[in-house]
Amino acid sequence: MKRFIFISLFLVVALTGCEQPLEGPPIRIGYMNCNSEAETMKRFRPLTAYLSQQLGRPFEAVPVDTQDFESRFVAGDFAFTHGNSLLYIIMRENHGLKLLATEKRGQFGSRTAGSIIVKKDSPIKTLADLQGKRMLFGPQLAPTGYLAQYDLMLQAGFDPEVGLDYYAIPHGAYKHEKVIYGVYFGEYDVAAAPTLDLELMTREGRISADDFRILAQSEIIPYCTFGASKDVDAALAEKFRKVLIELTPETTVEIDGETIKVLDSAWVDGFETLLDQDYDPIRDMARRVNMPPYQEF
Amino acid sequence: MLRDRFDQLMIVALVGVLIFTAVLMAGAGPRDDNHDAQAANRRFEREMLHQARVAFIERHYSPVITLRDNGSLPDALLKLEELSRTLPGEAHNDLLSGDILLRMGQFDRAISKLAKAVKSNADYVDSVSPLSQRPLIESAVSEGLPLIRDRLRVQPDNLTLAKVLKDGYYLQSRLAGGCE
Repeated sequence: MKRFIFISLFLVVALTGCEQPLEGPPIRIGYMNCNSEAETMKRFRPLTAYLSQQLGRPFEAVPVDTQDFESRFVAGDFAFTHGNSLLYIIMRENHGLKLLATEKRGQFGSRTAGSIIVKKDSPIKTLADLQGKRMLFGPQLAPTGYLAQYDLMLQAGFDPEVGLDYYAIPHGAYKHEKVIYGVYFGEYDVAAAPTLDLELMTREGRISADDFRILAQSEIIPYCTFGASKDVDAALAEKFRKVLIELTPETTVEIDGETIKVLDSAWVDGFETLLDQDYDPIRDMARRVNMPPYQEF
Repeated sequence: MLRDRFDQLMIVALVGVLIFTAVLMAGAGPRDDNHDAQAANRRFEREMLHQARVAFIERHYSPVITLRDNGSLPDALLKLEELSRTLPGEAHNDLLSGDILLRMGQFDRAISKLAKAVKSNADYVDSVSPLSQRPLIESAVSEGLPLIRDRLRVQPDNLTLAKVLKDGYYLQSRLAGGCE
């Protein structure tokens, strides 16, 4: 009998000790869709599972369209946020979002830039040469696909609303790639391309550096950012931040019986904690371009 | 002891061998010549390697250097990105990235890239090497390290910058003649 009790106790301890039980109601993380919900979930489900495992709380990934991000956050749909740096500023100014960590990816680490590109053999040599040309922009809330380039033109004394013959924003998913291909295939004279997308597409061999000329590049500004609602327990937010910044390329998580590299899966090189003031250049751009959260009518 | 002619013959032969050996050992002159020849060969091979490396860099990286020198820094970085596909892990890619990032004022990224380049190829800190890039590395360290230290005082738990600081100290030690 004693032996039976001992073996039973051993089994209970062995089986329950392997995994920490997740406590409390689910905590939702709103992830801004870059291209599609399916892509967002594929990228961030492993990271979300890893956060649950490390923090002992059940986190849930919620894919969110950029345009709906603020309203869904206000409605209490999610408490943690992952979105572009302009969204961070909008949520910070309007709802007191707390800065946690900034994503590192590409040549500039936790920062990136916006580029204005033309084809290599284009007669356009300066921003002044854009007069009467056709331009393709990225989505309006994209800091390095719209805001930075619009601001570059204004700063150079060129008003795109007056000076360009025509400008457009592509429909559907993969807008940044469409913008780059729009110039590549000659549909447009000039495009607003995120520097990171140019870099990634070149690295993957989808475009050649020799196909384009970068007419101008913006100031280098913070990239996609994790934030927490001001209502989130400060200790939990701090633990969340620590888990993010301590992630290494070797960190793995088990999902559906597979061992997955967390950073690789999320297309991220790592995370860094920046200061809120590091985002000031984006605030200045948004003010000059009359964009949210400083838009005036 | 020397009972017969055979024993005497053996003793004479032994003495002869000893004298011959002594003469051979004393003839150190020809060995010195051999050493000199080997050293000259090594110098020659090293110089050949350096020349080959300079020619290799010139052949592959001259478009990047032209863009950089024309001030087209973003285009130069993009070209380097493309070259990393055909020459993955090439130290000169890291070195030029570090150079361009430094010109763009991205000190932290520049220091990390330069440290990676020096770890792969120590010629960049060797003052007599034709590949030496000491002035570039010195300016990255002298301009970048104080800024990184200041930032870390405000943000002591920034692990990314702590790693950059380590890279900066590594470059500083290599510039001072320290080993790996």
